[in-house]
Amino acid sequence: MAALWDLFPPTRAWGSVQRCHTTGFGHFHRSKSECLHRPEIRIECLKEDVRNFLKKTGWERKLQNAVYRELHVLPQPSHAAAPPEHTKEPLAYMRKAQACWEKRILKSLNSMSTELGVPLARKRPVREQKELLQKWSEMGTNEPDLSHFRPVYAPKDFLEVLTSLRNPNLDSSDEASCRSHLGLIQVSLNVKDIPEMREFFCELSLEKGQLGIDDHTSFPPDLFESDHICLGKKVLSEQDSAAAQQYSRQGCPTGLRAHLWALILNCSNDPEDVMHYEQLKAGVINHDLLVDNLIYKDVKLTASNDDYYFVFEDYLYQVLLCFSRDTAVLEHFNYSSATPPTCHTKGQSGAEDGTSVYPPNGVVPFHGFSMYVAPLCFLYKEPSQLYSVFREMYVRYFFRLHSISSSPSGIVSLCLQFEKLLQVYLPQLFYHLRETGAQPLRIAFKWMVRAFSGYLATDQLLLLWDRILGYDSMEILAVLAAAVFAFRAENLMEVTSLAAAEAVLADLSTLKVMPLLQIFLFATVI
Amino acid sequence: MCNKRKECKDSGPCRLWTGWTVFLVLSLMMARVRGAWPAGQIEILGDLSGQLEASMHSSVLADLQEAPIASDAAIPAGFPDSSAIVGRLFQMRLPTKMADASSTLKVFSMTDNAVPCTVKSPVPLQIGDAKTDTSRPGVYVIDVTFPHGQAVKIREISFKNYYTAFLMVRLQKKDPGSPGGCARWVTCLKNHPLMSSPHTEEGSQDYFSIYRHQMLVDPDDVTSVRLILRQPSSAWLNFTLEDIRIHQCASDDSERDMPAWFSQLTPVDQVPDLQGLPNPQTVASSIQQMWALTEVMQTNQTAAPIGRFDSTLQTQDLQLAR
Repeated sequence: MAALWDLFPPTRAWGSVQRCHTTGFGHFHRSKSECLHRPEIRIECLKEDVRNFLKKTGWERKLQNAVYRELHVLPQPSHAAAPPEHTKEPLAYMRKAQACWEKRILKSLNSMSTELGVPLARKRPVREQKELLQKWSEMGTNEPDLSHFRPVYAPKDFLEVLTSLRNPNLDSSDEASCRSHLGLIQVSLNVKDIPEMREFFCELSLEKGQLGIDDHTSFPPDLFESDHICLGKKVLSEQDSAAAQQYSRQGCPTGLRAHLWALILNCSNDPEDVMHYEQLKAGVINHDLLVDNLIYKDVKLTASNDDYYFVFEDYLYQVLLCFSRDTAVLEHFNYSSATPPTCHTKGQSGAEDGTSVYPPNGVVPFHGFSMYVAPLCFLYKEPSQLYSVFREMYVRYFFRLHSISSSPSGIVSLCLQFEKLLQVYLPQLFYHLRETGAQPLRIAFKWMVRAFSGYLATDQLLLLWDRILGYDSMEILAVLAAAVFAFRAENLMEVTSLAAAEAVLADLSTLKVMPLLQIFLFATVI
Repeated sequence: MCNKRKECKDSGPCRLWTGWTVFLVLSLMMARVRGAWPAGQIEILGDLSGQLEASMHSSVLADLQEAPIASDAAIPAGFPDSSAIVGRLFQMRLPTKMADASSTLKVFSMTDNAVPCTVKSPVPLQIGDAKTDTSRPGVYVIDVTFPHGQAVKIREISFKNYYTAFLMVRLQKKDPGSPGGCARWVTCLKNHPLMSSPHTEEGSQDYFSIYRHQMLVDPDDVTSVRLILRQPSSAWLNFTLEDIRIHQCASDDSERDMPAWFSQLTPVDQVPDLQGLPNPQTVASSIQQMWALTEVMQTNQTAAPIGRFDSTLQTQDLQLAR
């Protein structure tokens, strides 16, 4: 505990301890009270004995992990005068842009509902409920008529919004200066440059072993791999979240990855989590939402057509349909710049009308949303555990990829970082692509929004996501995007149009992620 | 009086008032004020268009700010406040000159120890002619003064940043030692960075507080505060500080700041010797009745001219108890 206190100021740590107290630590209290009945606990040194008991049974470590998890998501303590919207997003023009974007999404959803005559939510008739329950684990065999449904928005629509983001206080006069933005993003956020990146990603440097490089069959395993696996087993036996996070910076072995990720995200497969998942499943069976059709459509369009993920189609439905109904996800709006969309509810006769969040989790899926879940299907077999890991990854990382904010892991910062890296490292390539109308961000944006899911081979993608979890930041996505451009720079210098550039970069499935990152960060001379 | 009320309604929040208009939440002040109010000068001007919101960015109070920020057009509209109405604003006009020269009226703000102060508009410092030069000024100076030359013991200066990179704070302190009590300027904060990089957005719209312990000299007996803002980057069109508040120390020493006659007032628990004056509680309740009457009048608008308020106050009865 002492180490945690050093890392984070006491006020934040206390707040997170209080949160842990209220969120599902029932069996902790029970075991505490049970231990008091044991004969070896003495009255004279009750405090010490209880503390030792907790340490022995592993509860201290669990509490530590829970506090560590809360510290990850709690926002920085803000000034007393700051209103809550300032804590979510300090820049006023970004809040405005996010609000406009949300309005557009809601309008699109509403118009879809009225055009197609499908209600936003309806109760399923009993016969339909029974059918769905029977076919729960094979929902992929359903062939609903989805031809009229279209995704609410696609990543390229979102890119248009980001390119039109303007700070009204920025001097954007016509004369070119050293601060002109040559790329698509025109805001001046604080992004790391190469020396700062080298420091931040120091565990990826050339002299340190990496899974993804040093576990290649041509290297003897004694060099790095077997030691690393031993260390991983030790970390798992200690059940320490912080240690697991540090460990995964150098990659997680395939056999240990599922447990390590669950440890880092502090997701357990307790009976309570299983029960929560069953409740959500019951919710899916009882009610039918409009967004369910969007999810079906999205899975059919993306994951089912993918060579690696089509086998997991059923799992994707089981996870995403439950995800739409999970109101626990609403908590992440406290630290996200987004606000959940609300709708008016028409009560039954006698019941009052009111407003409620729609969909219940506040997240409207877009084209490609199911690809956030698909790679996790390789790791987890149990739907309830798959669900809780996905939900935790979403509320920690993925939500930043489709909302407008000034956070360093937000998509706006990632885009700006990508463009800056390319301008510094490959100015000729950047200029050439810009001149031919193939702005690099137009190609790289879809990679970053999906966190490269569906573009890289799965083993490489999981190595990349190891580092996202290890560094608790998504800046590595921008670095990888720039590294891919650097790798294919020669071919790209030959292109004369956006279509040709996209063709050069269409297939990333043969790329090896870790060597690219290492070379780009540590072995390239500017 | 009906004419004045009408004209007030027409012109929205009135800016040109000759008397000293004060915003009060009604229940606060009336019981404590004793003064001779010359007949005919109390005017209940009725409700303002706004309501008191539980927010630091009240749109009504922003209108009142006597320091309009230069080139308003550049500042983006903020996110609208959430509507948590905590009170109503009520406008009363009080005369500046009391019948008795020794009487004063002190207004206490609702926020914790925030001293009422006048924030002057930012003055640009620029080499070259401000009008013809194409480059924008990189230094602004904002002066904050306290009413009636009051000397304040500052605990905290809080503000919201708007693209200012560095801040320097100078204080004008009353020098008790020197004869005549003349004031001198001292620097209490040098080049305090508000933005981590002047060219990027980090810290550009954040809230800050400068506390006593961060200052180079103790901010006691301060009569004026000068904030010197610097923004070396030419990327930004405008920069300033918003919502500047000075918070004073809540200590027993504050009694020293009160005018001498204050100590002559009888304490609240003791029954005051009224000497034929009406009870302050009844005065307060009748003022509330008057306010309620204005409410009713406002809601029941008629074309017929409305006569003067039937004030139950006998103004000649109110005199300062000596």
